[in-house]
Amino acid sequence: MWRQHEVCFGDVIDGDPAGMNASQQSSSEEVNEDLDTKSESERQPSKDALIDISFCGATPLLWKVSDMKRCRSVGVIGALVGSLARQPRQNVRLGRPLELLQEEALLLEETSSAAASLRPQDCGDEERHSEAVRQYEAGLESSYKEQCALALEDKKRVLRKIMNEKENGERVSGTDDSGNPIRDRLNALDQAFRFPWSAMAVQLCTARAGFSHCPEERSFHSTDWPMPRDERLNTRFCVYRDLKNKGFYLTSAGKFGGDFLVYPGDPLRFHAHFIALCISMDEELPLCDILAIARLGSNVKKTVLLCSPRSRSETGRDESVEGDVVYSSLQWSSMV
Amino acid sequence: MTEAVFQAPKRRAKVRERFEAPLPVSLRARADEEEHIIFRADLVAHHVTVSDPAHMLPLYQRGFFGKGVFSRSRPEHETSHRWRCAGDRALPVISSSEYQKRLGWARAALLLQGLEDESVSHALHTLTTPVQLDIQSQTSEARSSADQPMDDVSCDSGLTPEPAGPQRQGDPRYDPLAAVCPGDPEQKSMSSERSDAGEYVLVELSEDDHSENLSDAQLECRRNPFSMMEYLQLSYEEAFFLVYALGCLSVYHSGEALSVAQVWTVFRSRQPNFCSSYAAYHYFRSKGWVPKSGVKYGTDFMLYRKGPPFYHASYSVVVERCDESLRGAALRSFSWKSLAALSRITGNVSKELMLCLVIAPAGLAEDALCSPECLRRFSLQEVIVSRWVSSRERTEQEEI
Repeated sequence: MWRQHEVCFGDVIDGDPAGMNASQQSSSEEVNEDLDTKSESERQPSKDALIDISFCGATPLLWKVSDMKRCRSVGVIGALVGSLARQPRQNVRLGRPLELLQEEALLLEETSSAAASLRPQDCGDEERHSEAVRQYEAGLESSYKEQCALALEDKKRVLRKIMNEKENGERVSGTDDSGNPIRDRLNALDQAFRFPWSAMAVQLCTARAGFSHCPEERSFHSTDWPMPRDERLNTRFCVYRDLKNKGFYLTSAGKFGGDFLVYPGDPLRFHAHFIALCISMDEELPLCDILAIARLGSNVKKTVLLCSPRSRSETGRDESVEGDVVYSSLQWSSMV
Repeated sequence: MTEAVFQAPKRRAKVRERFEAPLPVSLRARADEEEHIIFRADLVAHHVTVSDPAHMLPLYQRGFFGKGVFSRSRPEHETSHRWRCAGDRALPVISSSEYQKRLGWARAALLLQGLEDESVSHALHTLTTPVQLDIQSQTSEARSSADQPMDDVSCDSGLTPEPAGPQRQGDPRYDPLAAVCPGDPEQKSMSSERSDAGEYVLVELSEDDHSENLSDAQLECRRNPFSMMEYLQLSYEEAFFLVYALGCLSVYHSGEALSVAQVWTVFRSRQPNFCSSYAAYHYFRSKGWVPKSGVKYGTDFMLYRKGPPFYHASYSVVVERCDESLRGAALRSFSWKSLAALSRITGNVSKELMLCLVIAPAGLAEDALCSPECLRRFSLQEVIVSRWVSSRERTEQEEI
């Protein structure tokens, strides 16, 4: 069941009754993270703290600002996909979470800077799950009643203010007509006021205990990588890793019909130079697709790269081996 | 949501051609003098080519069929863009470096035939002796005509006069778009038909290749070492349309003319999806569009309103085949990425992407496809694919 709520993301303490009181301290400090120069990750040695990747299905997401800063410094860009609380109905500026490409998440895991985190719903049996659901709904109910009462108070206050202003105006001008409808409304408010469920503000907690624990707890919390690695992902990951090692920054190129957009530096400072299309060595592409993407590349002033990892048949492993990638560039002649 | 918006075809800024009546309808006043010509094409290797210049030009001008192999579309390859009158004919003028290049080609061609080096050199030496073609008496005339601008060939080898018939381009009685774009597009006069038999050329002997003033250059008449005869290449759909629908072309293979059924069989064997792509071609021609090859943009056809010289292409068509429930093995399986790329490039060049679904009835047996009669049983459905950008849509609604 999906309810439409005004959702705001805030770094609020997790309402878990079991309570990790130790984390309350750090979480409340996280609220001031953007303003505070010393963030949590800097307070602790960065070797211990892992970037916490949560999965929504197969999509890797980052929720914490400290994680996002760290992975940006490594060169993983990602894309913001959350809506902003104050400006929900637009997608020009988006907020957290940061969605990572599969390849970016794999790279972070390979370099041991990140691990997948365990979601509370994943573990536990049916009973605990329904218990958690009941608690959550009870919490919503109490929050609703509270907000109802607050909204009623607010509305009464507004009406009283209007009434007072009108009475002041009447005293000055000497007429007495418009005060009564408002007084009637005020009196009827207690019975007639309805606070719709959909107007309720719901808070979702985004702070987690995080991977700032000792290694035993970390292994307890981390989980298996939920993404299956098929051949397609292996090809793309090989190319991604090779281009990253060469010092490029890569983002997704879905708009251009390619796999990656390759930037010589941070995407905020440069335009993309290449559109990378990852195909395996023995894959066949229809000629019209090659023509279309080469023409597109020339129109948007980027070079199209066909990238294929060189297959190492002697290793016989199904995981990708770090090896060479073959690049071919396509350009439409007689066009700039 | 968005509704389908049909854009009017975009006129080109400069039109250099005159619109003639498409094949085979002739509206000349001298109808009795004009006999019905059956054009001749040859099936050479895998190509249908028309080599007779008298057939090439009408085929292109009246319906924009085919493509000149040395040109961008219209077969207008010439040995040179500069011509001089010598006696009673106009000869092309080429620079000495160009002449040397052609000698190199001639040498390579002779060597390919298996002749020895010495005989090749001897043959070329004979070829390069200057030809006396009354050029001496005419050089004074050449010098006096050098004052004229270079691209104005004012020889009397017959300029076609300005078209005497009614101007159908831009005339509101015939052209519904003339009201939308009332200005008559700029027209340059048709260049004269020059005999490019290519036997003789005038070679500039001066060192400077960029000499504008021809009176300084010594022109010498030589034999053309390597004449390139341009021919018109027709695609299979165009050739079959001319054979089957208009009946004004006959295709020869190894000297003998092929019947309509034979042409159909040959084309089907050479091109795997010829049935559906021809069905789409025939359909769009019947509607008045000029379909040309869409290889440049990664599709099957580009649709032009009257022809490529007059309008920019309006639609970029991908032909797909399916059965009556609109399902079936796709001729060209799109992945999400390839469709995004195609849609994006089509948008960037201001065209619209159209899928043309050729619907074959369920009971159509394989052997029914052996005859062009099966075309009656196809029906076609057009689908226009456009990109929807959510943020743009929202902003427009806010403005309202």
